[in-house]
Amino acid sequence: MSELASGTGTMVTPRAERPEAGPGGAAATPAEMAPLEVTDLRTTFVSRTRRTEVVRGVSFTLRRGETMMLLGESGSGKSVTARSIMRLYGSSAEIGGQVKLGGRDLLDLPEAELRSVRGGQVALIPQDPTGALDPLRRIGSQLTEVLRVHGIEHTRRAARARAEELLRTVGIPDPARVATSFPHELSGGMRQRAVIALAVSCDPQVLIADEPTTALDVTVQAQILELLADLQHRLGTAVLMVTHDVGVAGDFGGRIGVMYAGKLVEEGPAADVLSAPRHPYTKGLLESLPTPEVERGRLRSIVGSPPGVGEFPDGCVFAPRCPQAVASCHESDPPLLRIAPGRGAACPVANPPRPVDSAEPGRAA
Amino acid sequence: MTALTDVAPPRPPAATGVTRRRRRRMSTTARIAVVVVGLIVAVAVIGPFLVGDPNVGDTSRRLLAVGSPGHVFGTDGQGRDVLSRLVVGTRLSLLAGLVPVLFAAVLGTGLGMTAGLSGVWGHRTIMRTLDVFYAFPAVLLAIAIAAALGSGVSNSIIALAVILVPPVARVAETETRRLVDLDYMEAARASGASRGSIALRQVLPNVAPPVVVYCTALIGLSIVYAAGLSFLGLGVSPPTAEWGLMVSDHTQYIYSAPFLAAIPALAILIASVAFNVLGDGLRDLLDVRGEVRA
Amino acid sequence: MLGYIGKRLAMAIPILLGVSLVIFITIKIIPGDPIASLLGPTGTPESRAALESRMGLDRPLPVQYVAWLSHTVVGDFGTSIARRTDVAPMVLDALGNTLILTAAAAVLAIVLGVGIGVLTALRRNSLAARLGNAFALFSISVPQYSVGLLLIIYLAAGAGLFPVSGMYNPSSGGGVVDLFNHLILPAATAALVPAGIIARMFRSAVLDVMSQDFIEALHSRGLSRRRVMAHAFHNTVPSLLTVAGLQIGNLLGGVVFVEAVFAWPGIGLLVYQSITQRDLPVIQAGVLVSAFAFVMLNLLVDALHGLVDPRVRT
Repeated sequence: MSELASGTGTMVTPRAERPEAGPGGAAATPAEMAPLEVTDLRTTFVSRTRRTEVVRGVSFTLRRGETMMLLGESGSGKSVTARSIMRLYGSSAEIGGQVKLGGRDLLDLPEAELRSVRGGQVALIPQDPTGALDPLRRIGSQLTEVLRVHGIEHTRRAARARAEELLRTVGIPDPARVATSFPHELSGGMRQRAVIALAVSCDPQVLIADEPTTALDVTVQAQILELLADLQHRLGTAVLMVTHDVGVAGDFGGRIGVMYAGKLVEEGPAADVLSAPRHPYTKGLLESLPTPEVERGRLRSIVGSPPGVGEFPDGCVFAPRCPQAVASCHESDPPLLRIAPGRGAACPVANPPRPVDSAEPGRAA
Repeated sequence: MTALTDVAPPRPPAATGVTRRRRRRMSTTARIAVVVVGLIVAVAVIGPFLVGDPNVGDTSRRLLAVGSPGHVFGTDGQGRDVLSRLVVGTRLSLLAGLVPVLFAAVLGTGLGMTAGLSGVWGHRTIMRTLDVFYAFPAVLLAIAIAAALGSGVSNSIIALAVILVPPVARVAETETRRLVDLDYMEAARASGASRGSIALRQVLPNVAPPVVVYCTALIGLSIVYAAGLSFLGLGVSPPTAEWGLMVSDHTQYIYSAPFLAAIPALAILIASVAFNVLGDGLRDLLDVRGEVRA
Repeated sequence: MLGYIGKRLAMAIPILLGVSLVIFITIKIIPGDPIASLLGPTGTPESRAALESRMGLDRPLPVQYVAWLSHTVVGDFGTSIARRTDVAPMVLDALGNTLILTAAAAVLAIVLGVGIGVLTALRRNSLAARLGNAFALFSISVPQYSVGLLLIIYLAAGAGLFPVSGMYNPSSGGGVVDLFNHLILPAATAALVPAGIIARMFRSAVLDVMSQDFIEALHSRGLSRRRVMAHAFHNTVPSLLTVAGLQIGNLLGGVVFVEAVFAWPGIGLLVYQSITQRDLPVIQAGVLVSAFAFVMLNLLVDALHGLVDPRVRT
């Protein structure tokens, strides 16, 4: 946290009430070393007539300042995973498992405490910046509301000054004008910067970015990713980014968790996963991408289509489409196997146990 | 885009939600409305053959109460059987509400599509002219027109048609403009289809569902207004059996026979509700977005 | 903002001109002979010609229209055929009374409509919501003329709670309380239909706003449910304005039935009576001032809309 206090004049200053960020920058507590620990997360949407399990046991750990990419096709449950962490589905979903943040389980928190975590310690950057802003409120007023709700600033004037400071932090050149603008008066890129300013306004430990660039022009996408990387570096925030774009995942770095049908099928450092995938689904996904070396039209794609939500087969969910599937794949669902330090893949066929050190059971998936 | 066909593709799907949409069907209420509308139409068609002459009255048997022997709904001030008058009046009351909507549907769709498909000036001329009719409080305009033309069913039908055309035209225009912006219209134009053929084969099939839904709900309103014009003495003339006229007839006896005025009023209410619910049901069935604005 | 209002104002002028033209034409196509009814049975061809030229009826139609319009613009609506008095004060009095009734009905309709709309949107399966839905469904189909009658029967005549008709009690000499007593039944009757429509529209407006992404975004920023709802309701105001404006406008005309049933001395009753007397100048003026009030109301709604929603001020 010390780099915050000594940062540039426009930087966000740390909150005094956060114990681990005491004067002089106390050593990080263990809780802060692993701010977010998700264990066996399961999300089931319930309606009067049916129950649909969309996230089916996802576990991962996100350390301070670290990046985790949830990569997957639409419908893989990556967005739902991200939102379930903040319990944004209310009573329409049942969420099981554990989401530990600083020693507390977010899934057990009472409403009031959950509210102070939302926006305060865990913030969300939604996909579409237009939809993320109240269209009838000026940008500045939306910022000051959050600052005052979380007790960052207590007076209107201080909040307003802080709001402009935040807008400058996210690279908006004329914060005074933008603060008095309505969302529709800004460009898409500016709007997403304002949304990011809202997200980092309370100096969160974890930033969840749900496809933060999908709704933007290609030229703006790179700027926004750069801004996120920059903020992460300066604020020491952990970032959980959801994306379907392998390119974005590769550029942003950090670790990658590949999701398929509500499960993590592969996990590891971005560069390793993308250069040497160890799960047949990840392989198929990467082979279906156009690269300069492969001509268009000669791309290989995965046979078949992902199972519909709630229509999961027995055994490995990818088995029906998997070129390497063997009989046992259709019988039992393999857990995420620890295949190398920091790497996991849910495929015993592609990763046969080595004779010397047998595969660790891995974290229960 | 595969090939430039001249068959209109189905409406583009709305943004898909997390769960796949179930097959759309009518609610139970809407099914009941279908039955009620069917019954009303049946009564209008065959009812007059089933009951006695609605204009024959026995003045010695005036204002009989509901449930009297031989007169289930009692008798009116001239001793006429209320049930007979109600049944016979169904045909005229229904037609007086239905026909203006039919007129408005045809005329409004034509105007709206023309406006939507023509250039800036054609569009402006038509829509600004319609705006003028929008600037009148609708009921008052209908009353003024009906008054100007003189009483009679046909005049009340014309008056109602005039006030119903502009809203129908707006619905058709909005839908047409939405279609014109879509890619496949561009494709149809590029393929050399004529304006008329585009209007008939591409636009009309897509404009029709929302217009039909809107007009179904308008029928309820139109029935109430038509009976209202008769109530004010601007529709049919006595002694014709018609619901609005019956309300106004029976009003004279609200102190001696309070239920009398409620009977035709209830008939109007039931018919109107039935068509409104039917409109809602059709909207869900055809997946037309938006509420019907009266 | 001022520019926006100015633009709206400029758009209202051609509409008002069109309105006057429609009224003029409607009057011209009326079958029957207003001159004959003015002259009475004693009229001679000479007196007829004299009256025609005095009223300008022998001139070409466009000239007649311009002449009529130029009088109308300065508030000269001519003379009533039936009452032989100036039309303008008669019509303006009646318009005032209609506006009182309309305003009362509008307040009732908005309160009821918004209440039921919120209830049915947020507590979808409760008993109260079901009742609210049923009310909204039936009230939009209600024939006002007979509901008014039923209210007269049960609350006014039967229970003696409210006066049966009129605006003031002639013996008590008027006053606000008296006006209020007379106002309740007609206002409640007139409010039924718009209340139902506002309820349905507002319900879908609330559901629409609640399904928008920014609601989730606000929750994700840790705002309390109350604060999120405040944002949501703020966002329903534009659609509420549109619907309410439309419905209040419809009330201006729709109250004619209510006025006829409750003998409320408004524009509707005046026009209705003038119809039976074939008193054309009064009908003409009555419809014209109603349309004028209607256009002005729309202008006001547009201005408020621009005030509430920055996106429409362009």
